Amino acid sequence: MSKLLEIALGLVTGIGGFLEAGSLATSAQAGAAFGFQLIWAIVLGTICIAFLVEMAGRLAAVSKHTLPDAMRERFGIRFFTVPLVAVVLVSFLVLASEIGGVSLALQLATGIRFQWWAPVVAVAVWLLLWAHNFSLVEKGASLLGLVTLVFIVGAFKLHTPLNEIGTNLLPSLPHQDGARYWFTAVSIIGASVSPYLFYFYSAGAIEDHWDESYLGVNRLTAGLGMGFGGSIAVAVLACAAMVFHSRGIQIDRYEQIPLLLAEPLGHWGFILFVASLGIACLGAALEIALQIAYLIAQGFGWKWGENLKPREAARFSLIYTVMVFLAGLVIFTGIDPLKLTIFSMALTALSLPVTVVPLLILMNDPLYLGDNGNHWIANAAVLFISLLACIVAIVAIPLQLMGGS
Amino acid sequence: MSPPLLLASLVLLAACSGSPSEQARKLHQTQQSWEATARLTTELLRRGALPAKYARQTLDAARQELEKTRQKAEQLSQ
Amino acid sequence: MDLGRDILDQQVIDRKCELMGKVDGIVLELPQGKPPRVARLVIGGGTAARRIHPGFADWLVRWRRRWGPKDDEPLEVPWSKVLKIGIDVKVDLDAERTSALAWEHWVREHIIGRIPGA
Repeated sequence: MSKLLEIALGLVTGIGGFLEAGSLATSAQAGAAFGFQLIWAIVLGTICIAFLVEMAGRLAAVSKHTLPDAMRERFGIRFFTVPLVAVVLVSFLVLASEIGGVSLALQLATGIRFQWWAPVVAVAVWLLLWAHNFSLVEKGASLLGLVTLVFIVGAFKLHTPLNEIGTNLLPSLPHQDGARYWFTAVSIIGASVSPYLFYFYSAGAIEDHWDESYLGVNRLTAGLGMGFGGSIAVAVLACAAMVFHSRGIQIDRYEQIPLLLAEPLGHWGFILFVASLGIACLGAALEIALQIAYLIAQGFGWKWGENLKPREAARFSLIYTVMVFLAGLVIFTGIDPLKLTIFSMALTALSLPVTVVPLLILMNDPLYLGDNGNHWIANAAVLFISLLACIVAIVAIPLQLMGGS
Repeated sequence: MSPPLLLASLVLLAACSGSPSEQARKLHQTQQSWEATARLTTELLRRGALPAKYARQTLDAARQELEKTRQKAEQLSQ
Repeated sequence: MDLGRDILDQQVIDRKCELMGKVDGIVLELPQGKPPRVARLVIGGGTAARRIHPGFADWLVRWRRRWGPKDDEPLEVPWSKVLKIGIDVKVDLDAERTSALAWEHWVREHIIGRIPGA
């Protein structure tokens, strides 16, 4: 594929793929509760994930290893099990949240409760993976994902004051509700810096046979893709700030969220919200299921590949099958999808150092990256944000749990 | 448990469970939030911006949440 | 050659470049008066589990004996069969004929293969 086309595709994937249950829920909650104040958390998260995605791509292009493969090799089986278990657990919860998101979109569209949709969604996700033509599915999901641009339209229609966005690009302290503020900030960062994004990206780079000539493409795709994607999350926050904050509405249930597009854009706003929620979460569910399978298969040297027939990569296919149906089961139990989503995002933030530090070590190892190792700025930025998110999470999560969410 | 650790745990616990006035404030906030949600839903329904089924379900949810808040407030005042 | 760095936990591929597993273990020879040599590479069969924790490995072995393929022994690849060491370790074998893919075949026959569309 020509490099220009790759960049275009990467951009589309970045924009269409950034928003999912986590970013949507956390940005909406943040806008409703704190107005424009928490935009800095989205900015911080977006910067971090852009760096990480670029690193994962560079690792694949230069060392010709996927991230899990390189991690097992570099750290040995014993240390590998730590990030392995952490990422699988956290990713599973996020997968369940995404299936919850699609189920909720269907509830909003039809009125039938989300639990009953869970098995249907699980089967749909599984079928799309089983059809083993993921390249096609991915391109389709990315293109459809552009529907999330409607949030930017909504934000404009609401006359979002741009100076408010500007002043809140930098961190600020909360005026009240300190515990909730920091918990929300941490869950926003967890939503932006989902490990599945950069693990999945590294597998894609290997499948597409990237080499060192792709380093420029990689940088553009990661930077612009994540950057544009982050701006959609900012747009969600802006809509929530304009529609909910002024009215004193807090987001406690998913059912409230569509109002932030229905207010500015009327009936079409509602429809496009439901479409955005459904498509974004479906795309994310597919990627996470695959990513968990990649992590285990690549870590143990098994056959893997998103376009292989299931019988050609039996253990790989078994993993995503089990994951998808277990995740569907979680939602079927009727657990509150909003609470599950917010909680998994906070947990992601908490586990960031464990998932990120191995990648950072690899990125500075000349054996893998040669002359293309990390610039100290990239190391510093990612390390700082990850540690910060983790430490704040350690304090904020128990406080939030005890205060009652 | 060592004294400093004990003290820290007590402070944390006190901060978390929140004084009764803090809990009352939060309940009041939740009540206002759901009342405003119901108002906004009704307004948008009138404008034709929402499907009837969704609006009904959201108003039902608002009613449930307001009832929960009312019960919690009663417990607090006892 | 740094065995830990260049061979252990590396991806193994067969002569047709099919993925076979990881180098889960190395068996060294200690001939009298000479430096140690790599005798064999060990793939699969619960070898990696033993490096994580012996107790865990024992539990896994019991579980593996109850289910799964009969031919679940670790695959021992003599050093003479190693063709190339680079990004992966290429060995002069046909993966399909070895026990390295025993579990892959078992899952294919008993689970995945039974679902339509596989």
